[in-house]
Amino acid sequence: MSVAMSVKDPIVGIDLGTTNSLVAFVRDGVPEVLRSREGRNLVPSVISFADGAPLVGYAAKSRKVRDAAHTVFSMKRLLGRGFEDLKDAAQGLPYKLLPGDGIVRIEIGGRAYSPIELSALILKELKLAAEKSLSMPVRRAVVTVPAYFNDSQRQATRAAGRLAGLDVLRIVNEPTAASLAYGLDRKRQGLIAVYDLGGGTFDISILKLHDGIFEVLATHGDTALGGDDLDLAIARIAAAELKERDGVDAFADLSLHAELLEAAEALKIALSERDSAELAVVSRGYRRAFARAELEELARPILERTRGPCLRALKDAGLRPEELSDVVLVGGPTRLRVVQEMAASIFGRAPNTSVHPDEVVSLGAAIQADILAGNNKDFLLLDVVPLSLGIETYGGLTSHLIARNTRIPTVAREVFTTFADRQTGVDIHVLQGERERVEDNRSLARFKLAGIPPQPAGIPRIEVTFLIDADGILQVSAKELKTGKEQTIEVRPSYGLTDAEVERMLAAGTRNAEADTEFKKLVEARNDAEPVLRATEKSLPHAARLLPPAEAEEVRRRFEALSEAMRGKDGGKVREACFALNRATAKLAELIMQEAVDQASGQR
Amino acid sequence: MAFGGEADFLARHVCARCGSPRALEPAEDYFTAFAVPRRFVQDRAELERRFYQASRALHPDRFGAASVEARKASVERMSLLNDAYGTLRDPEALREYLLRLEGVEPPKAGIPEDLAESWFELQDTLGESPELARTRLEVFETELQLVKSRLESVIRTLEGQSDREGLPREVLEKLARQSQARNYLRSLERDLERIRGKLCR
Repeated sequence: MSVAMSVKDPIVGIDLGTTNSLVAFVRDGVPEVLRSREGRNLVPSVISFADGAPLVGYAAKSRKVRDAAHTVFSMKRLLGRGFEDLKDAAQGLPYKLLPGDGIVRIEIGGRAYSPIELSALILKELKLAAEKSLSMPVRRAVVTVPAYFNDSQRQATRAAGRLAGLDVLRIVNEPTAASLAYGLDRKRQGLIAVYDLGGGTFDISILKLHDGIFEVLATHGDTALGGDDLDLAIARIAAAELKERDGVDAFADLSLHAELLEAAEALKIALSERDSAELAVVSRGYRRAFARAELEELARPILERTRGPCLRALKDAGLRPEELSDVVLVGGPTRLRVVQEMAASIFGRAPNTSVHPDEVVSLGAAIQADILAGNNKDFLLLDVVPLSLGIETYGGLTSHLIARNTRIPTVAREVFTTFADRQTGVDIHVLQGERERVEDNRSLARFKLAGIPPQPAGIPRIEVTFLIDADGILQVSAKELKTGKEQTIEVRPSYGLTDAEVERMLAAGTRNAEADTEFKKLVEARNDAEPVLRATEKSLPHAARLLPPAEAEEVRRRFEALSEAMRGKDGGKVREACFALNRATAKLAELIMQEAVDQASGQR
Repeated sequence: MAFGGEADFLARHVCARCGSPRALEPAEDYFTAFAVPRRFVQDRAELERRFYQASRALHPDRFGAASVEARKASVERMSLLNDAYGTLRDPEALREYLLRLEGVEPPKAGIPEDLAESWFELQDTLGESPELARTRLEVFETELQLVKSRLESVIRTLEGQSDREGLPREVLEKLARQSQARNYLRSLERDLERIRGKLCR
C-alpha cells in the first residue's frame, strides 16, 4: 500500500475488450484488477445514450434491449475499419452503420459517431474507475490489442486513448500480456502457445519464456472471430423459429435483435456450466430447451477456423506441437468445453485452464505498465509484427519490405526516384498483408513525398524509412540522399483519423466537457431552488398581512426574479436569485413560525 | 577466444557508465552488433544469449522516461539487433548477407543440368496424360531431392573452407554459384507444389 501511495503519476494497464473491459494496476509487485465505479471487476464494453448523455458498463448493458436504438456494443469489431470491409464483421450487429469512405461511422439518436469516439467513452470510464480506486489522477496507460490487429486498428486504439485523456505509452498484444501474468512466478519457462479466443477476436501466439524474457516467436489470428459468432449462430436458430411460428423478421427489429443476442449469450454461458439450459426470448413468449451437445454442434465449424492460424504460427516459429511445454487458454469463451476440446485437438495435448480467462490480459497489461515505469527490471517483452508490410509497385503488385513475425522494433529502407522531368512529388501507397495483389491487402495509408527539387527524371534519390515501433505501429520518414535534407510527408490514413481530426475531436470534447459542467451546475442550482420557491409561494398570502408593505413587495419581487431565473439556463443566476429570496423571506418565515407557535399554545 | 569479452560486447551498444544507448554508426553491421567474426557458421546458443543480454540493456521499454535522443538511439539500436539476430541465426539469410557484405554479386541461375531433361519431360506430359504426369512427377521429385542434398553438402563444405581460410574470393564466388542453384531449387519446389495440386484435383 505504502509504495502505491508514494506513486505520483501511475501507469495503469487496460484491456479494452469486445465484450468486457478491465483496468489493472501493480501494487507492491502484485498486479490486481481495479474495481469499476459500479463496484465490479468487469466493465461491459457497452455504451448507451440516455437523453443524450453516455452511460458505460452494466448500466448501459441493461439498456441493450430496452433502448436498443441508443445502445451500442462490440465497438472493437469496428475499430480502424471502413464501411465496405465491415460487411461481414458487422453482420448481426443491431445498429446502423453509415456508408461512406474512410473510417466507418455509426448513427445513434440522429448523430454520427466514429468507433474511436465510442471506444474513448469506455476508456474514459476505466480511467475514472482507476482514479477513484487509486485516489489520484491517472493520465498514462498501457492498452492491449489483439496481436493480429493491423496498423489502422492499433492507431485507432491509440487515438481512442488520447480522446479519453490518456497518454497510451504502449500498445501491447493481448496474448503477450497474458503470458506476462502467466509467467509472473518465473517457475514457468519454455515454449508455450497462448490460445486467446475473445468476444470478437482470435489470436494465437507462440512464445519462449526464459529467465524473465518473454520472446514472441510467431503470432497469427483472425480479428473477426470470437464468442460473438457463437451468440449469432444461436440467435439465428431462434430467429428462424420465430419466423416460422410468428412470421416476424427478428433481425429487422433492433430491440428484438438485441434481445435475441442477449438471450443467446446467456444460454452460452449457462451451457459452459450445465448440460442443458433454456433459451428464452421473453418479449415473444419464446422458450426453447438447448442441450450442450447442440451448442457444440453449432460451435465446431466456427471454432475449426482457429486451426489454420495455429498451424501457421507453429510453422512460422519452426516448431512441432509436441515441443511446446504448455498451451494456455485465455478469453471468456475458452470456458466452454468445446473450445478446450478444439485447442486439445489442434495441439495434441490437454490445454492449461489455470489462468483467469477474463482478467489475465489486464493483469499482464499492468505488469507491462510496471516495466515501463521502471519498477520491474527483470522482465522484458520481445514482440513481433503480425502482418507483412509492403508498398505498391508497378501493375498493382505489392513489394514486401518487412515480413510478418519480424521482431520489433524494425526498420526497412527503400530509395525512390522520379519518373518525369521536373517532378516534385512522389506518391507512396503502404499496404499490410501477405498477398501479392494490392487489392487483396489492406491499404494503410498514402504518403506524398513533396517538395522534391525539380530535376531530370530519375535523378532525385529519396530514401524512405519505414519504422515499425515497439507498439507495432508504422512511422515513416524520408530524406533526400544527396543533400541529406529531411523530406516532408503528407499522411492520409485509409481507415484512421488524421492527427488534425483527432485534435479537432479533442477540442470538441473539451467544449462538450465545459458544456457538461455548466449543465450540471444548472441542474444542481435548480434542485436547491425548487423547495425555496415552493415554500415562498405558500407563504405569499401571509406576507401582506404580517409584513410592512415595502418588505412584502420586496419578497414578491425576489420571488418573481427566481421564477424567471429558473426558466433560464444560467446556474449562477439561479443561485444568486435563490440566495436573495432566502434573505428577503427570512423575517417572514420567522413571523409565520412565531404565529404558528402562538396559535398552538393558545389552543392548549 | 572466438568471442570478445562480455563487457566489450555490451559496451558497443550502451555506455558502460550511464547505461544510455550509443548512437548508431554507419560502419556497424550484423556481425559487429553481436561482436562475432564474419563467418558462415555461427554458434546459435551464444547468439541467443547475447541477444537476450543486449535486449535487456537496449529495448525501448527501458527508456520510456529517457531523453528524445536516448529513445531514438534505443529504437535504432534495437532494430539493428533484431534484424541482425533474425539474419545470423538463419543459415540461408546469413549466407546471402555475408556474400553481399563481401561484395560478391549473386550470379544468374538456371535449372541445374542434371535436372533439366526430366523437368522438360514432365512439362511435356502435363497437358496430355495425367496418369503419366503423376509418375514423372514422382521421378522428378526424387531426382530433385538428390540434387538438393548434394548441393547442400557442397555448400556446407565451402562455408567451412571459407570460414577457415578467411573468406578467400574464389571460394566465396563458388559458394555464391552453389547458393543460387540451391535457391533455384526452391522455386522449382513451389512449381511442383502447384503441379501436384492440379494433378490431384
